[in-house]
Amino acid sequence: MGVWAVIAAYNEEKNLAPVLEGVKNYVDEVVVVDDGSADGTSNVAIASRVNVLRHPINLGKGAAVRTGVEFAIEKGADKIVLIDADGQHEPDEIPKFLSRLDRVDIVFGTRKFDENMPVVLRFGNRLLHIFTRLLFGVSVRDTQSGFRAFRAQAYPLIRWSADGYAMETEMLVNVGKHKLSYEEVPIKTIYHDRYKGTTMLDGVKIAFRMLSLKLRG
Amino acid sequence: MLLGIQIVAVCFALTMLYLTNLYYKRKELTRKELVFWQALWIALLGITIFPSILDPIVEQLHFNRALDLLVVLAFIFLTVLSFVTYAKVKRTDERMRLLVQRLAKERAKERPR
Repeated sequence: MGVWAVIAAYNEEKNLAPVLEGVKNYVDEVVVVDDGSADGTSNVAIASRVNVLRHPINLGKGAAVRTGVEFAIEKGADKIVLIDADGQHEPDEIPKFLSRLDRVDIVFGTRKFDENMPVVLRFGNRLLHIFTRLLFGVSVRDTQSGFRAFRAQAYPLIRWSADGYAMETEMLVNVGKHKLSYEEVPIKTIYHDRYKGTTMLDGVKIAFRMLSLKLRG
Repeated sequence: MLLGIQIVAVCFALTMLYLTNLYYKRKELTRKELVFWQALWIALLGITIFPSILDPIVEQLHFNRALDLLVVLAFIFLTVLSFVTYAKVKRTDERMRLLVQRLAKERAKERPR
């Protein structure tokens, strides 16, 4: 049943409502996966009249997005948009993704690598870009961006096993492995909370995971 | 007369015997597990108090002292235990993840039409 947005949310009661209001304008259905939040994230999502799934405990972003995507596909989604719950992405940019999905399997949002992006993130992203290009032949400048869209039929091929932030990179790795078509689209980003999201430690974990995926073949 | 290290080992074995019994009484260990762990701690007690019972093995394996043999055995035991624990935690983790995801889907609150 058309285009679904999947939003994994963890303790996002303050930011979620405007994100949902924005996203609803561009997709047919929205599913929020509350990944074991301790605040009122689920209630905010229910009040916004979208589909809500709740993990009784926190499993991580990768697991939450997987739950949401599988639910959306079971309900008949044919295009899926992934967008962060913290309001760092502009829902107005969703149409740019959807128009490109007519010719490619997956579209990656790419943030500007300017002074707004924290230095650690800029450096880590550049490193992971080099890694993915050398190891898997996929050249996506922003390997960690959570704003993406893909065709539902591509999901079995890009399905990730990582529960945490490595999901984004694993998705890229799978794109390279299965030679899926992809495009990048420039996106605006607002950084709200520097204590959330991918940390330097996550970056190291992701790099190790990539190596292990390469060794596994 | 007992040496310092023997006193420490005896205290450790007695504490572990007590804890094993306590966990069994709380029904957190099965009878089989109780027998296994108690046998292990009793063996440790015996070896600590009468280290000479290990002499034939120590000589056979060319160790200098019974303590050296015990240290090697302890390392082997810990390595096996770590591996078994790792495998069990991984399996439990996977089961928990599947359970959480299934529960989330079963209890889904669909958008009101």
